[in-house]
Amino acid sequence: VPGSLAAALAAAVAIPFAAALLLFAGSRLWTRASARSIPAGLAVASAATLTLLVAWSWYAAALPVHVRVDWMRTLGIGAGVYLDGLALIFVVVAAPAGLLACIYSGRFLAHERRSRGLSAADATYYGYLLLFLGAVLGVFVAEDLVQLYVFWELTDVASFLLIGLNWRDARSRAAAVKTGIITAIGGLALLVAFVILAEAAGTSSIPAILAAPPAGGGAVDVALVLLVIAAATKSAQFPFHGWLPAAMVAPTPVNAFVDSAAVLAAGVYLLARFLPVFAGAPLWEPLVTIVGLMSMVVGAVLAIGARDLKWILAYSTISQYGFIVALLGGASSAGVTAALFFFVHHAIIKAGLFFVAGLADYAGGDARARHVSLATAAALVLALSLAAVPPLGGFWMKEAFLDVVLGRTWPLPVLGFVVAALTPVYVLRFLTRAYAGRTIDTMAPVRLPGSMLAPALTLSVVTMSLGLWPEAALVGLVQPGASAVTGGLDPLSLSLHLGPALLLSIGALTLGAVLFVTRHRWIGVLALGPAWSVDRLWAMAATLLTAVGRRVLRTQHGLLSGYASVVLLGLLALVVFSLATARAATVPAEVRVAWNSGEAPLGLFVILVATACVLSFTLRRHLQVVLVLGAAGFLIAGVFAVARAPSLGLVQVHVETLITVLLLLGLSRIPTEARERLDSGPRARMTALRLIAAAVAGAAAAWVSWLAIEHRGDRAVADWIERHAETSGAADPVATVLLYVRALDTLGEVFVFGATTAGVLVLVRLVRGRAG
Amino acid sequence: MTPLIRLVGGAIPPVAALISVTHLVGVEHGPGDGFTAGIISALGITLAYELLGYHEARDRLRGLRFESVLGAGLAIVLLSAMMPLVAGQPFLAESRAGIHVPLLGDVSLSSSLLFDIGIYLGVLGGAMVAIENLRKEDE
Repeated sequence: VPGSLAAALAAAVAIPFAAALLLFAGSRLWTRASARSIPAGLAVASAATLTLLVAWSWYAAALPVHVRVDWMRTLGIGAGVYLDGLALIFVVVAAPAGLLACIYSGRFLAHERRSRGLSAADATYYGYLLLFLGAVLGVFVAEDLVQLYVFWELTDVASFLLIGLNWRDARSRAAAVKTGIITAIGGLALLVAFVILAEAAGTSSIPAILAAPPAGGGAVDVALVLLVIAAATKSAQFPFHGWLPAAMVAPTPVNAFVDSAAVLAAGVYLLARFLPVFAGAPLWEPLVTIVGLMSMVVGAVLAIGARDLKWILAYSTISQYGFIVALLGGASSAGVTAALFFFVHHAIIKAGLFFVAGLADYAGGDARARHVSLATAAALVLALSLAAVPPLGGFWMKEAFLDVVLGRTWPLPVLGFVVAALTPVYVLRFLTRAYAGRTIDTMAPVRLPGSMLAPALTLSVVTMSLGLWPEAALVGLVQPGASAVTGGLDPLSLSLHLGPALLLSIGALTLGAVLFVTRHRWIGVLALGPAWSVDRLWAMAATLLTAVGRRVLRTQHGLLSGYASVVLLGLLALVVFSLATARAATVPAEVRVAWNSGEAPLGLFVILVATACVLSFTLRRHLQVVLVLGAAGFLIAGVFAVARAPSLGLVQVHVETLITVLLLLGLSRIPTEARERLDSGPRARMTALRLIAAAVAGAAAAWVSWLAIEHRGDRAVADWIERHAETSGAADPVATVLLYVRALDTLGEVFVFGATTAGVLVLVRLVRGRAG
Repeated sequence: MTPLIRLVGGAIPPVAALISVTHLVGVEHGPGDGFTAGIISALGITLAYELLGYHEARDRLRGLRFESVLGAGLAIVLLSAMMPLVAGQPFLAESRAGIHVPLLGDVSLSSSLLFDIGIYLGVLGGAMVAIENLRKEDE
């Protein structure tokens, strides 16, 4: 039943979006009491539903599930669902993580309100969270490059909103902007990469591209670099890692879900997804491996120097994702298997650690808090698992890593060993800071809520179980995924044998313990860190960007003549272009003006209109100008009436009346004194340049109109009208054109009209507010 | 204010609305024109403002928020433009159905009528929002 599975997956993506919309739209309807419970309940319910849907497709799927429907047919762009083993891994990790985060959030939000003055409504928070959940699932199951890109950008938007949730706080805003800009750079890079890829492959369907990858070299290499940049921004890899620590201002459950199991996962997914396309290129291995290695080292060093619990975890995440990226650089079957295995373990551990950090925050570091022993147990298990202590899950993830990199060039095993030794140092610092055994006598000890303990405990049990039965994750989830990428089944061995990998693991643990104990002797070295921090580069880039922005802003000078000349120049360019490309046959052979149209003198009206126009710029008083221009408009209506277009004339009369009324009202709002000053002030000079510009623009407009009228040699338009006249049921060609051509035009116009009205509204209220 | 002016002022908006409806449905074969209809309706109301004074005229229309009219119009336009997508037809595609109305006989209803109603409301709402906000507060 691939069809129903695809529908289930599409529903899994759609449910959180629908729930988010419901939350945004309905937030006014709830009473004070239900404003907490309804959003939380809705979020948990929809996250649970989609987790069940995902679990069902894991259970029932005959992979790959593949459905494609047309989206933008003329461009060959489709949409649909593509779930193979690789996508399954990410979906299976992200969905439950989202559910746990929703469960955890209920009590944590209340705490966040008390302790940090968070003012956003619960509905807003859950709405953003669900928006994110839907978007990230969409990334993982997207069938088409364009579809993937759209969801990718949606995750950017959602994470921007989540990080800036507490927007009254300047730090929160700064972090959101930083994340927004870095991920936007990645998004743009991804867009260009996808365009190149789709052009080279001749299709934008992801499975089709994977089945027949385009030949490498040239533009495809550019796509490779851009794709790696996009993945690095998303996965917070060096040198784009700066946003992740800043994002720690977001509520902790957001960090647990978004930052460890979803956003960063999207970057890894991108690399793994398109690895078969690019791995043949000589650029892939050095580029991806170096990015991964740098992130491993930089992240670990910064994690040791960090003071805040969440910052330790953020830097640690950068470092651990570095392991995954470095493994993907190898592109071997074993490397991909180990990378995905690492990813699954790390997502579980890191989400759990964030939950633990939130618990510590909730307890205020007070060791007397009720159920603190449960939280401490979870913290111990998860942290030691991250430090790769056997027999926990994290041990096997480092084993798999070391096992694979031992076969590769020397920097990998050497740096891998060093970072593996640094990991226990920051893990132990985390533990000593989380539950340092302080007692705060002035406050009554809090009780840690079950809805926050349960997610942390669940994940610690999972990582413990995966330590005891390491094959479980490997066989059920990771190996099908890896074989979907590389085609082969990998011989990753997870038996405990006395090999070089095990020796390295034990060595790293020992070295780490020694480093932790002696940390006071060497930790001062880290003070050098800020000197070479990428954050400085970031600050410089931000300054540069601001300067460019100021320069651009200067074009908005407020001088009407300047704007008008730009518009006229554009018009002129358009005319020159169309004249240059027009076929010779379209140039009219003779110019014939009908001065008399049957019974009424058309020429008289034309002369009157021209007189009114000339009169309008010789008059000084604005009121008179408005009236004369109105008269010109009514005279044009007369032209239409004489030229046998009465309905057009009628419309012209209506519009002219309305415009005159609006202009008069506008004039009446200018205070009398100011109006008199305006009326008696110096008039705009009629310079020769302006005269020429006006004449040229007028002539160009007339010329284009003339060309359009005379352009009768082409049958294409007439054929089109005839073809549609039959199907539309319209009485005549004019009605057909109105039906088919006018609609889009009118659609655009009515929205411009609405936007202009909104502008009037804002301006008037602004002035009124300033006056009153 | 004479009773005659009061009567005429009160009658103008509904009459204008009636005229605008004939434009909206398009009496002469061709499709309707929501744009003109909206402007006629707006002008009718404006005229009533002039005759009766803003406050009295507005009082007769109380409960009508032109911002909402504008919003509803734009929403209807978008909705009717997107509806064909659900049926697998291109954006803005037109569809029609014949229905039987008791007094009028068989009437051919076009989906473009809904579109034009949206345009009508959008133009009416927009024009009135602009006029109401540009007027002097004391008039």
